[in-house]
Amino acid sequence: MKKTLTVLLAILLCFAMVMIASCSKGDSGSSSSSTTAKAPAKEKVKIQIMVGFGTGTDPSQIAVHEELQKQFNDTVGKEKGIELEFLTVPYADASTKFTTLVAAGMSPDICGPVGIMGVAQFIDQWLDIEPYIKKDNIDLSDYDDALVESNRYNINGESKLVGLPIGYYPSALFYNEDIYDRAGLEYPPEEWGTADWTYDKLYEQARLMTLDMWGSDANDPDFDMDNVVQYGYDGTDWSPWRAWVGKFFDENGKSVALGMSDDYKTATMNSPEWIKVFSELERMIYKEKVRPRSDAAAGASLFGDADPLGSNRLGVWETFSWMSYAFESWDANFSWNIGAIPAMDGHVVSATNIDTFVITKSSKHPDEAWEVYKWLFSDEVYSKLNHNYGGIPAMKELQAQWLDEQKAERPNINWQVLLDAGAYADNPNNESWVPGYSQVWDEMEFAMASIISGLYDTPEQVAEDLNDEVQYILDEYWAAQNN
Amino acid sequence: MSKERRIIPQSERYARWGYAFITPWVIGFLVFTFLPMVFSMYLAFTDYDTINPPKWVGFSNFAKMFTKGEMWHSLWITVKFGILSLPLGLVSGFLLAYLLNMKIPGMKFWRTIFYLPAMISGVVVAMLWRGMFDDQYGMINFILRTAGLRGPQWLLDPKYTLYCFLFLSVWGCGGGMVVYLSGLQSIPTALYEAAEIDGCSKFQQLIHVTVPQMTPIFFFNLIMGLIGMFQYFAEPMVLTKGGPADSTMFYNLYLYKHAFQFRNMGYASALAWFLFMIVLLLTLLTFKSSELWVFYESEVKK
Repeated sequence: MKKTLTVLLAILLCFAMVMIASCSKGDSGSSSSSTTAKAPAKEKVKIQIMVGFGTGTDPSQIAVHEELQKQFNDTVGKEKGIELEFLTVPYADASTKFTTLVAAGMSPDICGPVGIMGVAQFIDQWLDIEPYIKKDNIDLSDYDDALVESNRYNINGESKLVGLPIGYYPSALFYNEDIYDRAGLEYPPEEWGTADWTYDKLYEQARLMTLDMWGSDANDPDFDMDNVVQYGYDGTDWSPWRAWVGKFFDENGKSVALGMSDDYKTATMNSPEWIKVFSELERMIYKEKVRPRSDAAAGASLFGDADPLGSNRLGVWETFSWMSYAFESWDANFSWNIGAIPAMDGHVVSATNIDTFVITKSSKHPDEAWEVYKWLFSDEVYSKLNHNYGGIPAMKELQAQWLDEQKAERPNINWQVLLDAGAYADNPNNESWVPGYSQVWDEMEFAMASIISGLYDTPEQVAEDLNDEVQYILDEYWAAQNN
Repeated sequence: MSKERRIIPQSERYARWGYAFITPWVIGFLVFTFLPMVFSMYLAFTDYDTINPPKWVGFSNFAKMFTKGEMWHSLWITVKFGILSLPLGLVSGFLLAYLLNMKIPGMKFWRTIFYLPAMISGVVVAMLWRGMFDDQYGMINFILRTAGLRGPQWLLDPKYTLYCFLFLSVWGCGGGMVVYLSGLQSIPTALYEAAEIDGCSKFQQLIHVTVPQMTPIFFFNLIMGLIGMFQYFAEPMVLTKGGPADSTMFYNLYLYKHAFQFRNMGYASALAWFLFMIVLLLTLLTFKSSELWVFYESEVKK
């Protein structure tokens, strides 16, 4: 009986192996037969761009990628023996798909468009493109310097530039003019850095726009903060928490956004500046009462399924310009505009998202990938890509054209505010790399959520607990690096 | 010299066919379940980020798991939910089945209605209840407001979030109900007739006939409920993602976070094996305890 079983198992295993082998043969067979049929003298090198780490996955955007793919393959690709392919994956699956491909030795050659967060999560996986830039004498002064530098990393004493900026999305105040008018308030200024435009002033406005279901505003002693039907300001929603922390500076005028020492080895999230980060959030919610006591992203409530401003129940939303996808629905429901971000303790900061393309270190054809990369950043293609993603072009000479196009479409909006925001871009960037990136991010989320949901004793305690957790993550990270 | 042909007994021929039929499943089990399990056991002792090769780290994943408070927090959330939801689900499923076992007109319709929630996927149920729990526009707070009461922020206030999941679990008790119903229908009517002749009231019949006869079904549902409790994932993932402030960070969500958000596959594997041990232990304990309270008609107690 045992013998029979063994024989049967062996037969089935052989059958399964033959099936697997024939399947894979089928693939390679078909490709090899097609190669034989069309046999070019020199085999083309295939370069794959993986899209899905950020924007670029809408059907209309995919169509542009396909058009570019054809354009490249018919021109530069033909000449240089490179075949370009865009591989689009859903945003939610991008990380898993990427790690699987890399682990299986089938790494894509280029990834993008990808934000700084996507870059940071896989910091070890990207190629340093600086040698190529030097070799080909690429003029980096074509781009805003700060945007180029946001993709430069200094880790363990090694500096590397992983990408060039394709487009950027600064944050600004997007406000509902109808709500401002009803409250009889003056709109936020268009000019950045005006002396009297501070968060105190913004909260003053926001209190008058925050209304409970009985019609009282947040200044009223009878104001019912459990039944708010309209909020004045929602600044830290739909943004990374570091965008909020980036407004705070130490006594030397250095941003405390990273919350750790320059060598990334010691957490400093219990510093007086970080305690102030939590205290200010506490003030915004519980004293000024102008911000919701939940993250809209966390589920349901006042803003419904719309974005906070799109709900038509919010006066001012400090957010990124990638909200452009919602402009059409805003237009249909209320009048809106864009204003400058106020100063916090004398510092004006516009948290900025930046998109880039990166070449993978595990690419089997880095030189050919660089050829494709250069083509993506050529004037004509760069402009097409920017239109496709909706960002402000990081290439300076295209910015005036971007402004004209926006003005032509929506003449009443203060588009110049977004262009001027570039001078106030956060540094370090709100998404920039730190060791144990996702875990540190998660710990910060937890700390801030504790304040928002009222599950905390004091801001000092929140800061202390966060610092302990982050120090643990840093120690673990560096111990693993040294092994 | 000719080889003598062996006569294969019929039982062996049947067995061969049996093995032939189960072999595809056995191969599937080996390739897609057993080998990944063995691999995850190995990963539990490594530092593995899914890109670079695993690095052997001995017991450090387990040490971290037991010394960091986060795992215990998520385990406590899961156990707390189980302590509340498991008895509630067992009792409500049984009572519902008891009611639906009565001979009244339209019973098939009601059985279908109560079973429907069990047919809907967890994700859809969660989406549905997300709307119901909305503090501004949800039906629950609307009813409370109509009654002059102030409804809480169900999904946003950590004091209430866990209770939302209790609603969900009781709402889905139709799955257990069907099993109870089949159990109720297999109780011999002679037992009820005998009890009635002996003067038992309906309530006494329930306690002394129905419940003891149903203990194997309770036992089955308890085991399934226990396993399901530790696998609870889809609903919190859709509704709260573990928040606010980790108040709904169920064990499986915590495991998922480490595996797929942080790419700590080694640590996640250690968590998975610890979970396996807990479920195994609790299942064995439940089996052991069943000798005391589960009644099988054919069983003769010594």
